[in-house]
Amino acid sequence: MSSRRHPVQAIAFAQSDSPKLFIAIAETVYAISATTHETIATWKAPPAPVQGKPQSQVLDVTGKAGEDGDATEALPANEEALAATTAPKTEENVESTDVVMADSPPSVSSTVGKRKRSPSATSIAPPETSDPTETTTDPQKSDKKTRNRKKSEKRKAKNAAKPPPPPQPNYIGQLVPIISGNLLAVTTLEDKTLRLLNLETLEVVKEWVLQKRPSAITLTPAAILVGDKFGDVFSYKIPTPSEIEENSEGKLLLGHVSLLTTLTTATSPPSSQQIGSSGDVKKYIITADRDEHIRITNYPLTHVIHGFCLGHTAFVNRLLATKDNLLVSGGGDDWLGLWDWKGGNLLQRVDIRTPVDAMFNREEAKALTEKLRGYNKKRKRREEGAPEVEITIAVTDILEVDGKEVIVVLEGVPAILRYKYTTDNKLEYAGYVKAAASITSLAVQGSRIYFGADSEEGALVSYVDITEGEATAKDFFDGRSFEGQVVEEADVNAVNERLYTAEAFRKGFGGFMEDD
Amino acid sequence: MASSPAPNPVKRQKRIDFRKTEQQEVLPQKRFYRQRAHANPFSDHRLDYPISPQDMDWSDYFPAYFSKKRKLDDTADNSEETVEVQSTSDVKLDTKKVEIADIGCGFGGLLISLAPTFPEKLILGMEIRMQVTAYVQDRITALRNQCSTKKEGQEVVPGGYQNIGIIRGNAMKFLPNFFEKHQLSKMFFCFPDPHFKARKHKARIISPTLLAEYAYILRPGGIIYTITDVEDLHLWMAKHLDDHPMFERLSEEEQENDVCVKIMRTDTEEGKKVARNQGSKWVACFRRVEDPV
Ligand SMILES: C[S@@+](CC[C@H](N)C(=O)[O-])C[C@H]1O[C@@H](n2cnc3c(N)ncnc32)[C@H](O)[C@@H]1O
Repeated sequence: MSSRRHPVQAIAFAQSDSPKLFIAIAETVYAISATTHETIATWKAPPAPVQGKPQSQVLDVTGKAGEDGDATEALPANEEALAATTAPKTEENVESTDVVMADSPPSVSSTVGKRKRSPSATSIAPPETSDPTETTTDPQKSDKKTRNRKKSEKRKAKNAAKPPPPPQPNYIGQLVPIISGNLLAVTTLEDKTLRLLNLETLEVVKEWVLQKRPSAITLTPAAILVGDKFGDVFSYKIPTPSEIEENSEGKLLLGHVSLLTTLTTATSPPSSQQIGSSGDVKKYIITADRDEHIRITNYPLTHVIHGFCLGHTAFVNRLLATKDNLLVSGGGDDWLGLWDWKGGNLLQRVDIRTPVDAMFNREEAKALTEKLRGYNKKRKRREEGAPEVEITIAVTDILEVDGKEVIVVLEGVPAILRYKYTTDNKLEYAGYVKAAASITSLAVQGSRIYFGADSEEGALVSYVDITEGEATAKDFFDGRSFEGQVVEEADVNAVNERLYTAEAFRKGFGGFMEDD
Repeated sequence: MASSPAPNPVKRQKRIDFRKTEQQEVLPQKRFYRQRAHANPFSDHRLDYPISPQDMDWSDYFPAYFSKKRKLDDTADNSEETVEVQSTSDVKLDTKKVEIADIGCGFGGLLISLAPTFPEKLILGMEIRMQVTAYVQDRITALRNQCSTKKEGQEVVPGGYQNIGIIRGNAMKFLPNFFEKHQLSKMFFCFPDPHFKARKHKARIISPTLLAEYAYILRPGGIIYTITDVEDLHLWMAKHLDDHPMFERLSEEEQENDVCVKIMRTDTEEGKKVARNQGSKWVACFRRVEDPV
């Protein structure tokens, strides 16, 4: 593979006074006028703090021997993959010498990365005297303990000898305009930070250092909800202009013991049916994880789980709450789930496989298979007996366009799949919009779809209007070149691993922690 | 059950031979079931779990209480881990649900003591370590067989150990796959792994976020039992349960009058070990309150 243009990995539209498109390319956010298509402002994420682990901290003085297990033990699958390309974690540095119990809910300071701790609990129950009649000992056990200790010491020595990995670019994760506050919420993946930028100037007005790498984001009217790679969801209050300067902290709302892939909110009855400001409206947060779960949690009483939508057999990666208050889910399964989320009922499995297979002729399908296999070094290479054509399905985006149809994007696949509502509120495949290459970002404004594609020849950003009969994509920059960024040949693999992360959530991959 | 290669072929063979014995009544030996002390709750393992509680086939675990949902898949290599079906029951099938869970049950001592105490209730142990699970399974099978071939002078055990089962699973990830909303009346957390370091506190089996899930699975009025010999962990668990709006602590009196608390103090393997070492044990029990309206 040779050098290529870096695609747009995140895109968002803001219908503010002057409509703008925000695009993220590697570490940079661009604000572009939707009318003139000129760049209005840019913001580049600062480099992440160097995270080399000082030698002295490698030795563990707090844990009991043998207690520790693997050095990477607390990493969820996938975070491990990221860890391989990342310097040791800040949280390790902060916490490895820390024996104080973390307070609850854990809070994130808006000024520095260190967590505050409250004094540990003080409720005390009387200790009991133990039964002295039992005296059997187990020599085998102590044997094993020594063995384990030796093992873990060896492991630590090995870790200590590792040179610190080179600094990684501080990629932009998600972009979410907050129109009411004239703000743009931006997450960055390497320094694990949530920032609020001025929507017009892209100046940073506030930042929160997160505990873990952010993986999902959504808005409520008053807060930004951020999900992380360790499954937790924190809430950050959207500040009013007078609150901007105040210190505010993230609040832990809920957590999965899994990688949190996406989250959204919903109400019941749906907002379209709400009359006035009825007090009976219930609000919910809907979260999904790599372990096939979709969870419905009351909001703001997040200690009450309402229910689950269970049925997926592979990771869930995207959720959409539709205008008719149904839930669409997609991830590693060959189908989208259409749910009555309140009752936890799967109404329809919407086929993705058939349209995808019909999209390509054999040569195209072979080329696509190769491409998909090449995206991530942990992905299965073409092995003896592996089929020539094997298009893996990993949903990376689901959006609703103008309340009329649901569009779906799959990792590596150069098309936007369209699904229309039938009269009985099901989804029916309605063709696809062809893209020049795999789609790396997607946004919707009215009946218009904006997307970034990973191609050298095609447009960096394209748009298409679904109300037009043809629905063919046009170049947003109308042939003009855009400064952007070039991926050097040496970085192609590293960039691919940042852009194409969904399929790697699949289990049975072989690379992750499937220990026993 | 998905099975991964056993680490020790000799031990594996011993276990297989042990199970081959028709109607095995001899209790299994722990030493053939050893495994490393800790399993990472975040990792995938090779777990088998139902897509949802409705998809769960309990007949493998409680053959006296459930009919088979699906045919045994002959092609799957699950001969070692599945359970013999016994059809000697006089109970109506498929009328009961698991109601009590021992989370991280280890070698199964609590289950075995609870069995005759609640002969009418189905009690499930969930354990993440495969060999430990296999040991408990063989132990239950042997106890059931002892009961069904009653010898002279042998005491009748209420329930005949048909009401206890063991399943391999990661309770921090997959409880909602096994249990419906409000299904359980009791959950036990006996001597859970302490994960001493603050960095690993997220790996603790009692945490503010997991408590929401336990509250979902427990019915209002249901009880969480915790016991540990690590004071720090006790304080941690009690604090998080105290702070959680869905739980209220049992009074000292209620706690001491609860038969489960007595059993929990004396009958788990870890509890016995602590007693041998003359360690302390801390107990904290909490009731799940009604859902807010
Ligand atoms: C210290 S032992 C206590 C065993 C038993 N309860 C007793 O008191 O003897 C803790 C047990 O919890 C199991 N465990 C840890 N995390 C688990 C999880 N996420 N799901 C199920 N079991 C788990 C461990 O494998 C271990 O057997």
